[in-house]
Amino acid sequence: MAEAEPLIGIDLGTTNSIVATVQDGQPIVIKNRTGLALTPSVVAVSKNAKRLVGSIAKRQAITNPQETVYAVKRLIGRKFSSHEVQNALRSLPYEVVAGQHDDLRVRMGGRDLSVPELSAMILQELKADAEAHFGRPVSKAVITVPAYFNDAQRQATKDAGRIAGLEVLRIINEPTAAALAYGFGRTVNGRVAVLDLGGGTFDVSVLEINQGVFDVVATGGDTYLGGEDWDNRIIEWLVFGFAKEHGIDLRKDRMALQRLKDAAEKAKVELSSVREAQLNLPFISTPPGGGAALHLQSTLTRDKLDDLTNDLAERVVGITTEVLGEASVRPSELKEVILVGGMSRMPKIVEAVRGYFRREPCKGVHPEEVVALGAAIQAHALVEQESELLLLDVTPQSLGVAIAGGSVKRIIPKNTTVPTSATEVFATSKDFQHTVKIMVLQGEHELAHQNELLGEFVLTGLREAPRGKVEIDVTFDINAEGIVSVSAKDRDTGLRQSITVTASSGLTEEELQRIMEEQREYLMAARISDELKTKRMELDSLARDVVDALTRARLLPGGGGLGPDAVPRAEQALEHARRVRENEDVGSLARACELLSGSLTQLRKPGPGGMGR
Amino acid sequence: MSAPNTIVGLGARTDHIATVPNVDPARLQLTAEEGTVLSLVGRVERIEQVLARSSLGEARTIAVLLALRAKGAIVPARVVPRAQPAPSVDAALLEEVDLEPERKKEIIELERALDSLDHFAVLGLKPGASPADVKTAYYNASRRFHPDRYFGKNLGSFRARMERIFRRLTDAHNVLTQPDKREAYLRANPALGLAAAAATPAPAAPPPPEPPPPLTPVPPPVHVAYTPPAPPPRPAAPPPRAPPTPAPPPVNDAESEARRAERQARLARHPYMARTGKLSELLARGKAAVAKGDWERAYQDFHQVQMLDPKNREAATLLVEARRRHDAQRAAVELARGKTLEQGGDANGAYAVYRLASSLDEQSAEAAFRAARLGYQLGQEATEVKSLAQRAVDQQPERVEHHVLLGKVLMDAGSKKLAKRAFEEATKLDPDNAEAKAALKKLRWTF
Repeated sequence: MAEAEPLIGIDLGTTNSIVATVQDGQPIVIKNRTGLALTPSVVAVSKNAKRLVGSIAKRQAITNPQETVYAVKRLIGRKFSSHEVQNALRSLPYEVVAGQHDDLRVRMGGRDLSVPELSAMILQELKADAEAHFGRPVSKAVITVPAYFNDAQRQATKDAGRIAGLEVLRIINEPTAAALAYGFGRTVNGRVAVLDLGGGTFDVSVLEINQGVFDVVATGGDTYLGGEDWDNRIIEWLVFGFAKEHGIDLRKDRMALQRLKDAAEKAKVELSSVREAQLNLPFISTPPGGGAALHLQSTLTRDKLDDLTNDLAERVVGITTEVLGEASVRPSELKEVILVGGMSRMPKIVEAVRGYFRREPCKGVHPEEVVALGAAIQAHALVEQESELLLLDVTPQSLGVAIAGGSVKRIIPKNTTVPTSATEVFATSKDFQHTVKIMVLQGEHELAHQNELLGEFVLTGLREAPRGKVEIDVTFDINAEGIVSVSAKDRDTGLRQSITVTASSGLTEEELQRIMEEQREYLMAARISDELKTKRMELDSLARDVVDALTRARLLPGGGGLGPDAVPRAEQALEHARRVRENEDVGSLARACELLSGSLTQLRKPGPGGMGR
Repeated sequence: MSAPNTIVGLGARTDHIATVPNVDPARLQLTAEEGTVLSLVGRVERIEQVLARSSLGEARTIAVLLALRAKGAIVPARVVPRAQPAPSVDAALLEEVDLEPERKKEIIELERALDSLDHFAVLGLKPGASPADVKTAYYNASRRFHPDRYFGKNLGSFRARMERIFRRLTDAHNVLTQPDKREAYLRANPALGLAAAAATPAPAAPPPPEPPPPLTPVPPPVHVAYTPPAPPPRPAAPPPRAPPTPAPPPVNDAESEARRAERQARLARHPYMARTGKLSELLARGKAAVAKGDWERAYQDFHQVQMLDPKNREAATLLVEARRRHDAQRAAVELARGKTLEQGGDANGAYAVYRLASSLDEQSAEAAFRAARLGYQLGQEATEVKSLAQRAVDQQPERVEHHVLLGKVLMDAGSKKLAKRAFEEATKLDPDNAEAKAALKKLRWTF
């Protein structure tokens, strides 16, 4: 039987990423090649222009802060001019520049890389881990995103998958994935709330689980609330303390900032289990006027941390309340509260959740792996079609069109189950209006320009009539894949115009093609350099063996009973090997290897009349 | 067009005439003859049919018809034969897609019927079904019609069809589960609302003339202790559970009854609906039987559900439970029968019956004990008797006679050590048990 193609689920996190699969009916996490489940979502270009991904990249971050990119998820699918990005830029040590169409580019290793490209590097790494696990190519994946990601962010994530050479079967929401993993192998019937507080985002979803059908009732969250915010609070506190003592702003120094970041994260993690953490950063800075280097030493207690981040915990509860309100469900009606994400280890968060729901959050799932497992389960369910599992997902944000006066008319409200469609009738706003421009918007804001513009098109050739007399049907249609198409129709003339909204991820199709081409070349080059390396190693070891054998042959009386031409031929082969060793050509290396191994067997083989060895 | 076949003022004999809708007989001041003929015409009728059925004679009938026409009670009508929808169905069926023909047919037919079905019917429910039922039906239906179920398959035009069906299902579900929308919908469709009102027992209103049995809401089953069925979702705001339609006047009720019957007949014709309807009916009936304690009926119903829809997990759990309870019930009956047989002296028969009871209900110590005792007396096969005796002891270890019997059986079977232990247990429980003491004494002197 031809084995089915392996399917993977990827949790592409802000700080850490995980890849999982379903094997023999069981969802499992695929360990990366360093033997860990978590792969840090860090990409770097080292001093010798090598691409580093994962823990290697994270380890060298302190010495190479400018070329080390982390938390790209916070930037993906965003506009350079947006408020969030401008805010985030202030705390990032790497350089971000504006792209051609208000998108983001990260300057790295002398090149401007788009954000999906950077995400793709991480995905590629995960894909390679999965391929190492299965021993064959992997090309199909489900990738998770925060529930509150808008269309552009989802599209950008999809593009990243494409760049990495993955066919993205579906983009699903992280809390939904967590619920899938939670409900897998359990008979759960009822409503559950999933709270996912990860490295960068906070998501809440309320799902109704009924015999394998996972119906998302409501979802919401904040894409700028996560572990990093806790870290930043600690950093701020440290920087402020240091400035008060020494009058030096550590944030000016990128390397110091990177060290602070590491120390803050470590302290935060530590404080989940102990009540007090020591922060020790020797030689953090040298005073501008010269003199002895300054050290940063301080003690952070859990109470102090809670104090610093009180409002963040309150935001968590506030968003949760909002989402539960949208789902019109009371905390007491929930069957289970599932708390996932790395931050769910923090006692303060657990306490806040416990206080709000008046119950112990579910401990039955691994807070970090559960999302990837859920993605793998969904990939499996989609392709294999053998289980009862069905996910009824919703639109995370409202869709609408801009209307006269700069406001928005919602056509598909948020939390509508997809696939769905809706039609709304509009009238012209001016006398004898010939054309009407339809701007498709996503977001919850009342004002059009505050929402995300997904696309626009123009319906022309309207019949001449006073305003309000021409009626236009605008139909929104979202299919199961989440692809939005919008059509507008003049009621009287039957004139029709429609678009399929492909959110721009900041990359045009040509750019995407170019990047994919580059990726292919890069991968090819990487493969060739890998082959070269292994061939060279083979050559070296063979050469060593030949030299050994030669020495033995010279020392043994009578040449060890070897044929007369064996020794000179071996010497020739060695000489040849020395010459081609530095070549970049795999073929010539292989030939040299063959020559060497041939002479080696000759040297080892006892001559016709001689004794063994 | 030959002369005898044409009636002046009415048309050809083969033509149709129709009663004018909403005609008021009182205002028209019809004669008795006219009344009878009008009733013969009914809604629409062929002229020659009316003539044939009329007892007045042809000429007189024609005259009456003309009079009716003059009064404006009837009009000539043209009956348009129904268009046959078959060809397009076949065309769609021929499309090459990765679906079984039955599924294709089901999808096409349901999609075609979407517009004519109300929110309840589209989910395969009876009008007035509770929000909890709506939810279950919706989830079951989405398992069949969500496009994700056929991910990556070539569906052709069926993808769009299924999406349309699914949208409609979602719509129906959204309307019927949200209290305010549901209320508005029922108000806009009074027939459904009335049916709903008739279906929900209204304590204040007089009971409807004929409460239809399958429509009565089943009280929540109390039997499944370990897997409680999905709790009925309680909406946040305290909602009116039943639509607050006033108790229907009797005339309307009859009307709604008729409409409901018609709708049900229509539903029953649709294979998908028929199946879902049947399933939910069986489930409801099974649950009702459970509530009444009639485990046998419940078992049969759930079993049938299971046969029709092997994927229905609710039915599966209920089935297991019902079977267990049913077995226990039957075991009790068998046990009683065995006792009468034993008293009647038919030891062999009684043994068989006890054994059956014991196999039906493994937890019944009495059945096992009695079976073992009789088996021992009758000298039945030792291993069988031993296991029965062992089961009796396992189930009721506090009874002395169980231990004694086990000991005796074991001794007969030759395992003295185990027999000794059984007797020791017996003496531990009752130090004065003479039989056990004697047996122990015998066992002690093994040489």
